[in-house]
Amino acid sequence: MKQIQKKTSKFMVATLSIIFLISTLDSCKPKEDDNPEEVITTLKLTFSEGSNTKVFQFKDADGLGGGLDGVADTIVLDSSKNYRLVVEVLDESTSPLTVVSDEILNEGVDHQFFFNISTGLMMTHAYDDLDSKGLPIGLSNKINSSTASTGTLRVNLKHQPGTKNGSQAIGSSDIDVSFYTIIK
Amino acid sequence: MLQKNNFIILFVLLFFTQLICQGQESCHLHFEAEVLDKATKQSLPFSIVEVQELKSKIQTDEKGFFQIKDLCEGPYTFIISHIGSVSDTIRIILKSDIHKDFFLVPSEIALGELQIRDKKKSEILNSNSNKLNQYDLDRKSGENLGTILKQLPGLNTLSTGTGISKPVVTGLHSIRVITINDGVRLEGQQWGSEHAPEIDPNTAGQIQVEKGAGALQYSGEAIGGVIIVKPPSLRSTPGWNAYINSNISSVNLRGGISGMFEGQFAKTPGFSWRLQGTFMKAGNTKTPTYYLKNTGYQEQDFSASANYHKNKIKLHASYKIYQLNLGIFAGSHIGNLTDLLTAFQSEEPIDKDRFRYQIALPSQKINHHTASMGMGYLLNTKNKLDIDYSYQFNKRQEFDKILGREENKPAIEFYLNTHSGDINWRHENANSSYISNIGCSGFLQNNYYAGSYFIPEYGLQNIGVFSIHKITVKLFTLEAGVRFDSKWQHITRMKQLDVDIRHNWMGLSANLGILYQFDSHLSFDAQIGTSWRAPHAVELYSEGVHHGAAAFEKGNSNLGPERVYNTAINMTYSEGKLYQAEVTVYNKYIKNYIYLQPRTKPVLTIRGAFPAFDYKQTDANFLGTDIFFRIKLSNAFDISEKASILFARDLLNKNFLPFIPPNRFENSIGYTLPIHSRLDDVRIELNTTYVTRQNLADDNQDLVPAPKAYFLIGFAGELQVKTKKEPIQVFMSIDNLFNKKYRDYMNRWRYFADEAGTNFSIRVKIPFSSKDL
Repeated sequence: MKQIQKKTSKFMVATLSIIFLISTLDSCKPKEDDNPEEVITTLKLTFSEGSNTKVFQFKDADGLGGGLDGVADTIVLDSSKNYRLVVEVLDESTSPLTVVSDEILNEGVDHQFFFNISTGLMMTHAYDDLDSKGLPIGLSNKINSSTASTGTLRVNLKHQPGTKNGSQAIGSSDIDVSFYTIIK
Repeated sequence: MLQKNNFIILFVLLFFTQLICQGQESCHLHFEAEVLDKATKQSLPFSIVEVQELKSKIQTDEKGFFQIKDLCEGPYTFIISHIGSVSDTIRIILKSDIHKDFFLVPSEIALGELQIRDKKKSEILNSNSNKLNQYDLDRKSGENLGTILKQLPGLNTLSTGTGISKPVVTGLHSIRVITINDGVRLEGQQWGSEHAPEIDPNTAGQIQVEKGAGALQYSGEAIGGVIIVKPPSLRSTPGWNAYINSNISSVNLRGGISGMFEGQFAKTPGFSWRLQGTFMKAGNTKTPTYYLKNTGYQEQDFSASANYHKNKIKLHASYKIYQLNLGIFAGSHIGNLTDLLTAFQSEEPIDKDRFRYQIALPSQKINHHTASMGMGYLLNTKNKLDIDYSYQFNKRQEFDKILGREENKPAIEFYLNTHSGDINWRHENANSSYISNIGCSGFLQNNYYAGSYFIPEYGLQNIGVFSIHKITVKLFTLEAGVRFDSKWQHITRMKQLDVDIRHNWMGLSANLGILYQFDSHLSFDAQIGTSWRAPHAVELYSEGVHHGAAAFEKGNSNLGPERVYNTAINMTYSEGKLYQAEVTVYNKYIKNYIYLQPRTKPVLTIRGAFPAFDYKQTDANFLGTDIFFRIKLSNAFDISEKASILFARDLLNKNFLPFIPPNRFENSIGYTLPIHSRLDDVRIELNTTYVTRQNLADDNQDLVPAPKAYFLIGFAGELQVKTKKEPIQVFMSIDNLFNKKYRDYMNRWRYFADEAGTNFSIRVKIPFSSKDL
């Protein structure tokens, strides 16, 4: 009987130490603040023509995970103008704010902005930047407004790792916002 | 050269001689066996073994051992009996000298069975339709748990592509199905419909499915059912045995190898152990016309277990690790509703790929550790006490390329820790006509997350007490069980903010079953029961866009527990392997059934519009039937049929429920070749699968209408190659023989992609063993 007890306790000690070993192998909890949530809150469009600058934005303060709808400004532009359009993507939930568009520029070969102008809205778009492979990114653009009209301008950023070829159909959308647009 | 040719000729001659001679019986075979108690693995001394063909009775010695010499080849029927155990009959086709271990079940008239190590198909055909045994597991080795379970009538899967599949029992899945692996309730992130159970099926020797409220000993929360995965018993005699099980599949060039090594040293009787491991790697899956991009996976599993058994004490300990790294199909990973519509409209995914093993983003990495230990103590011949403890750690990391985030950091990760303990007192009277299990079980759980918010951090405590009784009077068996559970939930962190929200739920589960055994072939049983389930943290507090699902989901903190009322009747007819038939009809009425209701307006985010869903409660009803029969037409031919029919309805909204398996009909015709001297159990099978279109679905509430019905033809073959010791088993199969293009309603990728094309698989299991160690 003593021998059994001895063996029993040996067995118990062995298994307990194995369990202890396992529990130390992998931390049971993620390290605090090692992996915070990243949010994109703002898409900012800056239209400039000479010294004349107009800023419009889409802002979703609670980010993608939040249930609240984001709000888009109405874009109001003058007719018959050649605008330079600069696109910025920001995370305004951090302090200081994070400029996410820098990352888009750095990974230009994997990203492209597409600008879809609804029929009837009298404006044209042309890219004014290129990635290292010669395809446009769309952070810098030329917008030409003609006659007074209304419609929507859709700004769609596609993430196309390894597949970017200028087609909007490929990849997944990182940004997809439609602005109601008025040309006066 | 000449010598070599001579040798070949001699070999061929010998081969044919043996073929011709096989009719002539050799009567020098040696059969020996030990009769053991299945529960305690102790030998049953002075058991009585009647051999019908010899018209003789033999008494085993004090170690339960007996032997018969100079037997002829052929079938033998053994009727084994021992006081305090259920007598049983087993048929063995003797072809070589053999040692068998007969395990007598100490009680349980209804489940009375005799288990045999080194199972052969001839015995295995007598299996229950709610149970898969070693043979069923071997012929599907390399597949995931869900796919393996599909062999059972009424079992289905909710899959995400070809790599992930979740078992669906009576139309219910995920948190409504409880999985018990080696006595431990599996605790992973089961809420996710793309989170497969973290189990290596190669560790299992038997898988049983309880569709009702049964298995109260394990849980009172089984709304859909309970899946009980049991490893084979460890060795009870000195020696060792091992196997190597390998498989390859053509559709994704999957290669898998699993090995097992177990033994008992002669020096340390009572101490037995087992080591087991699996490695598997698969690449992109091929549909009939294209490869699915980024659908490869790699799995590595390891387990070790040991038993120590002496006199009245039995100790056991085990450790299992499961690791899976899998790619998420690029075409399913869409940004928003617009992308989703583009994906639906394209005939084939826009993002295609060639074959490759490489796993790119998005991907998932899952680690699951289970450590358990327990003690069984035989108080006296009638009473046994079991105490078990287990610790589980589940780490799930989902990687995605998100703007503003480093690539090697998971977009979202969950850490789930669970400690659980069980105490069970089992009582059994002398003739096993009364058995009771009384005990309690509890667990402590903590969930942490990092990265994007989807589910909160929480602590969960559960304590349950149960009392289950089984009485057999003549041909009637009555089983009644009751269980009370109390559950405390403490939400500690949500959306990067510390919170303090507490819930407590309590509830009763009960089950009453009656079985009537008309004769040795026909039995009838009826069950009624109820169980409940507290809402999960995901149902209460989730908020966000579900990774890869392009859907915004919001929890509802006002949800209360779900309660199910089960009724089921079952009729089973079994006449050895000649005829088997089973019909089950079940009904589940679920009060406060929790589901996702679509919002009329999508949520507008910077990533575009997402369809939005809210967690709501309704009352639902599931009425279904599962039918199975197998008939042996002659010595060579057998046919079988499996049918599953289910009607599910949302009673309050008078609507259908999503993701309910459509009706399924499977047929097979098998041909077994005559006994051969080198090959054994050679069988070929042609099978068909017909799945109807799910017409009981609201197409307006789905993103795309349910796919069309489909009909598939498959082929399977198997054989055993005789060796000096145990035979080598070879299984081959061709699924989707005609490379049919189809989509399945129960696959979450049906929106974007076709199912796999023709898949040729081959599996080889090579056993090794020795009596010396």
